[in-house]
Amino acid sequence: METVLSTQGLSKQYGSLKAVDKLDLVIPKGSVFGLLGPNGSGKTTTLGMLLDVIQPTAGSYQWFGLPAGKEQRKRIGAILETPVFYPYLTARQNLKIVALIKEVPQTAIHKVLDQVGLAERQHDAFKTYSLGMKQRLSIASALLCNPEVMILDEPTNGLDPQGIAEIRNLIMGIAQQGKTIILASHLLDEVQKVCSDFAVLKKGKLIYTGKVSEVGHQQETTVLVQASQPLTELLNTCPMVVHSQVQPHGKTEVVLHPPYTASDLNKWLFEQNIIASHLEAKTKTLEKQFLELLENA
Amino acid sequence: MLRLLQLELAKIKTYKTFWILTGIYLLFLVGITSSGMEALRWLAVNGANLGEYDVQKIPLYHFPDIWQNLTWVAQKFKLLPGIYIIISVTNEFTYKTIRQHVIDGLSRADFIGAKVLFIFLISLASTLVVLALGLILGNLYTPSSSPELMVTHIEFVPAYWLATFNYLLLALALAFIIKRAGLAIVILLIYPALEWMIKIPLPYNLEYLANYLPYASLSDLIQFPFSKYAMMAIQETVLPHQWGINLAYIPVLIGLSYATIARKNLS
Ligand SMILES: Nc1ncnc2c1ncn2[C@@H]1O[C@H](COP(=O)(O)OP(=O)(O)O)[C@@H](O)[C@H]1O
Ligand SMILES: [Mg+2]
Repeated sequence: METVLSTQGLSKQYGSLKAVDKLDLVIPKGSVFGLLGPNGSGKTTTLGMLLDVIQPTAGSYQWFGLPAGKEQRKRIGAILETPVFYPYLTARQNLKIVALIKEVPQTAIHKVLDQVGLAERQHDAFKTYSLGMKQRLSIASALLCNPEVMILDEPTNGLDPQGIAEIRNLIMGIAQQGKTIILASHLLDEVQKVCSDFAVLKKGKLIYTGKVSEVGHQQETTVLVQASQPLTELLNTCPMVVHSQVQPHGKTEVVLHPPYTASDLNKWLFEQNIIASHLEAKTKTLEKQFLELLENA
Repeated sequence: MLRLLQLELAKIKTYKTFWILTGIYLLFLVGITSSGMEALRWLAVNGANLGEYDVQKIPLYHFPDIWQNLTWVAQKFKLLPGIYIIISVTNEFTYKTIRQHVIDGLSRADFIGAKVLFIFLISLASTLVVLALGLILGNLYTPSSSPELMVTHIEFVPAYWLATFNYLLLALALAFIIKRAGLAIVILLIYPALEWMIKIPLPYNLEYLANYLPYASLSDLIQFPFSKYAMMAIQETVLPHQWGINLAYIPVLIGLSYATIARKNLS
């Protein structure tokens, strides 16, 4: 597994506040990596250190296995927090500036503007753009150097539901091209929808890191079942079941031991000559686990 | 290098403030420096002529006098590009574009370098305007000009460049230190007085040190020329130590700007 980024004991202290505390991270190539944590947990500070705009108090990091430097940053497309452009320049002129910094040909500009759906408005001044358009221009700017890594910090902040959906689709499209994406967010549902891997920060400390798909593994599965007859008594004789309970709406909530799933339960019920008229697996959400993590840490 | 200069030029292409300030600057630079004879006529009408003395006979635009006369007047307008330099730096902090530039792959030294190159370009352009004015006006007014006469005391032209360059580097340093446009412009305006005030607490025998501060040094390059027409002795050239001090200030002023962002958080 190729590594895009690794950090060793990366720390930032503001007075007595440990904004980032001895962070050890490894981000594999090709992953969509979510940096998850409530507001003030140190996500932006971490990304700021990785992009040389915040001086670490201690620790080190390497991009692509190389020590920090401007040449490495030219291979990264990154936007921290709000979109940053010259308000009086057009989208195109702003991207020209980015192209000069990143030493990429101007010909790349049209393609990325097209990709984010701003080609028609490219000759309008940045200050006339809506927040969603500004955010999309940010992504265009990050894409300009055909980056190996994209860093996005709360890219859907302040957007309406339609804007949020647009940005998420854009990110998922980029991820499918095999780029590594690092996405900082305080929104669990965003990380769950978009990311393959994630790390949880709390008060600057790394408290969890793993694959999004593995969330809920080694955990109990909850299933909602409905049949033409009462089930609780029968279910409590089933070896897969931890416990079951009739819900107010008439369905029975069944908690299964790992690694059993809803289909295992369905099969077992069928063997008992019971046909379930409704069977719904309620996977444990990242949210639940996230909240548990934050409580326990 | 060229890339860094292109970067600065891309920022001003459609920036109105820059073009308005440049327009006013050129208007002053060309308009006022070339209306010296009008000024003398006005003086004559208002009774400046004493006895036999006719102020309109003063060889303002004659080679070689013209170089010191012209450059001394021309450098009075450098506040205008100074204001623009301040805005160009403080904008980067208000728009947070300095932070984004570093994120995108510019080093802090590159950032300063781009601004210094831009200052070099402005001071060079201003110097070329003054050089062209000098050649045109000198040839118009000098009764019998010769190539030799034309280049006599032309050292005031590079001195003009150095004075302008250092003044803009001073504006650059003030902008990086203060980071807020309004305050930095006010400080730049009163800066000559601030340097002068440093003298006050100094003991009498050390007061001369204040003459080596950056603004005092750059003002020293081109000495006030017009008192010679009242038969007073003036310094009619630039002395080696004046070149030396001002050249030494170049790395000092650039270093000062750099120190304000080196190893600092950019938020
Ligand atoms: N320049 C600063 N000076 C002092 N404290 C700061 C500064 N920047 C951030 N912090 C503090 O560091 C902590 C982490 O902030 P941040 O990285 O912005 O969190 P996040 O991006 O996860 O919301 C917060 O408690 C914040 O108040
Ligand atoms: Mg943040």
